[in-house]
Amino acid sequence: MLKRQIPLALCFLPGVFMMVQFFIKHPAVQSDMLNEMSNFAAVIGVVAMFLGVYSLVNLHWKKIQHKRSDWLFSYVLFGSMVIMALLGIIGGQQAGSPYNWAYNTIMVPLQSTMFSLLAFYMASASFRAFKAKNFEATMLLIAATIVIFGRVDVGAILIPDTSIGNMAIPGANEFSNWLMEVPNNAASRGILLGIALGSIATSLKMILGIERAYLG
Amino acid sequence: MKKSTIDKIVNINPRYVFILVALAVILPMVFEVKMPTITSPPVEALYKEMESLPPDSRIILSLDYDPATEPELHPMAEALLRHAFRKGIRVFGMTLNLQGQNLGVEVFARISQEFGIPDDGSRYVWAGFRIGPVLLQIGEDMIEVFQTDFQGRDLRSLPMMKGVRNLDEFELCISLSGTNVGYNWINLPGTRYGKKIALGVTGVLVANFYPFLQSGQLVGMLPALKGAAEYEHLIDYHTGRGKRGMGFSVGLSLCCLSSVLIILGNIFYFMQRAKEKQIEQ
Repeated sequence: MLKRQIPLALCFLPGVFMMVQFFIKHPAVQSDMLNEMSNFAAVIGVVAMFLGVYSLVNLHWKKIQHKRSDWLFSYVLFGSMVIMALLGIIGGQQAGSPYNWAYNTIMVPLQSTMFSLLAFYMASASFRAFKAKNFEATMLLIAATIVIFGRVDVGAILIPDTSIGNMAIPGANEFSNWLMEVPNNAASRGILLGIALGSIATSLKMILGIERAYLG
Repeated sequence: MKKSTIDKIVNINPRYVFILVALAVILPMVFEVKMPTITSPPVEALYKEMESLPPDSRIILSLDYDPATEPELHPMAEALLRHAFRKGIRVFGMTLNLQGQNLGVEVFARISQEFGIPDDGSRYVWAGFRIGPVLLQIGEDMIEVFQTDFQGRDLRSLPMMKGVRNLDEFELCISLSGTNVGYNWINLPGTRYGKKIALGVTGVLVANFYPFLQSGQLVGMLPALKGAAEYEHLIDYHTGRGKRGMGFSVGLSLCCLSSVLIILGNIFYFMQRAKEKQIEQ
């Protein structure tokens, strides 16, 4: 019984407090109690960090034990983890420290390279997947091409604002701004409202103990 | 069955496309072609907001990104810091991303040196990362949350933090991020504590935050590397990484390549469909 009721109570009480405190403008609630609750959240965050490190070490240790695919890379992970930790603990993390040097010359270029690979896959996808197969896809294709041109300066040079008689015809830049500010805003708002309502419903279900999937 | 030329092109090995992308990035860097910079309304709005701040006012610059998005967001941090230091605005630097901590160390040290600003906590503070609901806590008691700066100096002892308790003493909060953390800045410091918020975001997030510009919940936004280039242009700084990225026409070549690939992909798609219809008949 306790296995269920204690976690449910732990979810219910802070959940209700965080909802209610928003409407009580007394300093004891708005400042003191809120600070205490925030400190709890910080402590949970620190524990979660240790849990994350434990989980990572455990996963890779098992990988090495059972010699699963690419198990040698797990040694690289352990090596990097220990070296970076030692550099940080012994030499500090200030500008000019060995840790900062390793961070700026190894970690930053490696992670940036991984992220920049996206450009290659996006270019490949533009050729292979971005097809005018139906009306909706065609609209998306036209809008995307206009926005691509409108977002870079060359768009305004290649397709400038013009006019026929008294009628102004927007160029790539102007039309791209309109696409972002009108149709995009309408769609984004709809999605945001949907997400917000869904989040409220799910949170209420969890606080009230209707949704219990997180108990495992 | 032997494949036709159209089929071969439609099912082209992606490696050939990758070579084209590599060339589109490398060639404009080798053969320098400068493009004019045209500024957009969200960037101009942030620039005007910064310009309107009096000297000695305080802002928060939160570098909420990690090394993965550093090429897109770091030029924004550099440009904003240059503008702030030039105008005499005091900057409180922090991050909500643990991996971004040392990016802040580097950029604050480098840009402050450019302006000959000593690291004595009078013009800027780099506080680094704190865990927990930091955005909620800084609205109540900022000193309690951070206590010390990244070097371990007591925040109360630093000149620019004299008289500071919470967000009330800051005129503007700017968050640079490649994640949805911008929503939290809008919800907590923005809506709950009534602070002015501006964001710098990666290209994929730009569309998500446009509604907040229209509603006035954001006072400005720097959209991707282009946003950084535009801001550098506005502050009259022409050798920044943003301008190098966009102005040397890497943006132009990638834009043209993407458009050409989309158009070619569709031409071959329709040719393939026409051929299939012919065979069916």
